[in-house]
Amino acid sequence: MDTQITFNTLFDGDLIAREVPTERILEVELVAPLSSISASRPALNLALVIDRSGSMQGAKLEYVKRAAEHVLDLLTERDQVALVIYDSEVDLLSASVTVTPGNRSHLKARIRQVTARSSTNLGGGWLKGCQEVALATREGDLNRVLLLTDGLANVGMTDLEELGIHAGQLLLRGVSTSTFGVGLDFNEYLLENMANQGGGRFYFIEDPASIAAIFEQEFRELSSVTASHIQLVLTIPNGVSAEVLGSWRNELEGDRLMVMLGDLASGLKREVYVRLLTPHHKKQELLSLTVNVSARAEAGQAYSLEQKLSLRYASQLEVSAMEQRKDVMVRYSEVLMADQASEALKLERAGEREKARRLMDSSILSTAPHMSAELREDYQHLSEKLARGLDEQTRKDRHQEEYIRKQRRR
Amino acid sequence: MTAEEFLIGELAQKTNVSVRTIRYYISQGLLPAPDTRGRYTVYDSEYVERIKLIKRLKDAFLPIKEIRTMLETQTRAEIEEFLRLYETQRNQSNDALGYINDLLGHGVAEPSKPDRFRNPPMILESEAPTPLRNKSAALPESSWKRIVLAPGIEVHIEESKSARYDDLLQELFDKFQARFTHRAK
Repeated sequence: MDTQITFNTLFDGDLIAREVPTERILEVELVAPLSSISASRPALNLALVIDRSGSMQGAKLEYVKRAAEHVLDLLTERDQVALVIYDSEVDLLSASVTVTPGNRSHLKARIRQVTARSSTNLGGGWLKGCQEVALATREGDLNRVLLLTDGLANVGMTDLEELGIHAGQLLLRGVSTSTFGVGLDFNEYLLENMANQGGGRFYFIEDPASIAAIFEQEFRELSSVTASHIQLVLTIPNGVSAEVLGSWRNELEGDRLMVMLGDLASGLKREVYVRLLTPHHKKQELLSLTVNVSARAEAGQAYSLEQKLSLRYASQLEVSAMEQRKDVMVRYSEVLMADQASEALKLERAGEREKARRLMDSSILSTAPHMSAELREDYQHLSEKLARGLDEQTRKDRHQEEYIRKQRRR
Repeated sequence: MTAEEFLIGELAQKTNVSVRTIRYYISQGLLPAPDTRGRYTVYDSEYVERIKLIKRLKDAFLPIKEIRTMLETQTRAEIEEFLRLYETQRNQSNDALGYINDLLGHGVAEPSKPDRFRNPPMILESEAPTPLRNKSAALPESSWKRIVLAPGIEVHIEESKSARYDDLLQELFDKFQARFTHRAK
């Protein structure tokens, strides 16, 4: 049985112009292998990091506590878990322990005693969770911190970019992060960024009643991971510029464009779109680039796969006469549109309604040839709403929707 | 425009940092103010090199202030030597635990200390009236923007300078507001 990722690449077209720069879209599709160990799953090494700031008081905290207890019920003696709670201060409620029946009931008792207090040292609480997970790391475990919050980071490390960089660095060192925003006061850009950089997933918990179901989803995905630490490396020839869509964490080092894609659960698919601008060239016949995918298999061993791709130089006339691959363009346009809509939502939040609407309208126009009428209408509707201003609930709903669309999470 | 000059968006793409970050670096004196060419502001390849260097220094957890001092007082070779030493050392303890301990050692994850306010907090255009101008003074006339952060707290910025600091001020204001709102609870 195959234990490695299935990996496909496709351009929207294979020709590029000799006379002028050409834009080409590269689609990379990765599919995680099915789990070969049918009955078991990798052991989990988790930290539950719970916001107990004042605003969590009442139903939100109660549901979060119930969800945390629920996660404990899903863990077995092979797994380890640590409990961190934070407000302005960070408390290690329990260092990482294996989930024996005795420990489980002890941990549950600790969770039940948690009460809401003051402000939100999100960065400190999260790092404490990372530290516990790092301390308890064992070979072959899946290491992840689950950060639950309803608020803004307002004490300690609060900068979006800074927290994102650290999440990315910790992912490279084997500790991933998923984030869960509860209620309407949290900063969705911060939480999305931490999850994007941290190789996990961002969830918006719209109403407390859905907390348990969302945790179950995270748990299901986490416990059936068959490809972890997935990294895509494109070797970009001189003169080509490349842009990764969908907010995936990426870094350019010399001619290597690295894209960090986190973990993938059994049978799940991940699609990434890269927009390339190729240089004109009078004499060259082909433009070649290498796509490399590296990951770890279910049993933990690292592997890497490689494909060499090339685009062929032709006259500008031939290039414009060429048929683009419609299916690639349809999928690409959806991701592009969701990217732009995320940006427009950010503008709207900053009070730039008119700019948000203009960005939406020009994006709708440029993606129109490949967008379904239904989707176009949806975005036109959003554009009108952006011009008038959104309420917080709509902002958070739409942000989550565009996040799922641009990363094709469903 | 020659091949060696970029617009801010191109510079951002080339260096993989956001436009906002570049403006922030300029406002913090990490990058020199750019040339304007007609309607456009252009950046040369020096900027690309410099931003890459700043990124590496940031990765070494140096605060902006120290990066600025370093760029002002040390040669490129001295900075490279510092980074080489730092990067060697980091690679020796290249695990999550070492990384977190480094961070906690730098105190960034500790609860707020007063010096977190080392940058003047604030922003946002207020509806407050602009202050009266003192026309009788011999000093050149200047006009000031008055921003009310909270009852009893105001920030004044000379209008000719305010556009330059817009992004920074917005960022600081967001931070201030988050803190202040919490404290007021």
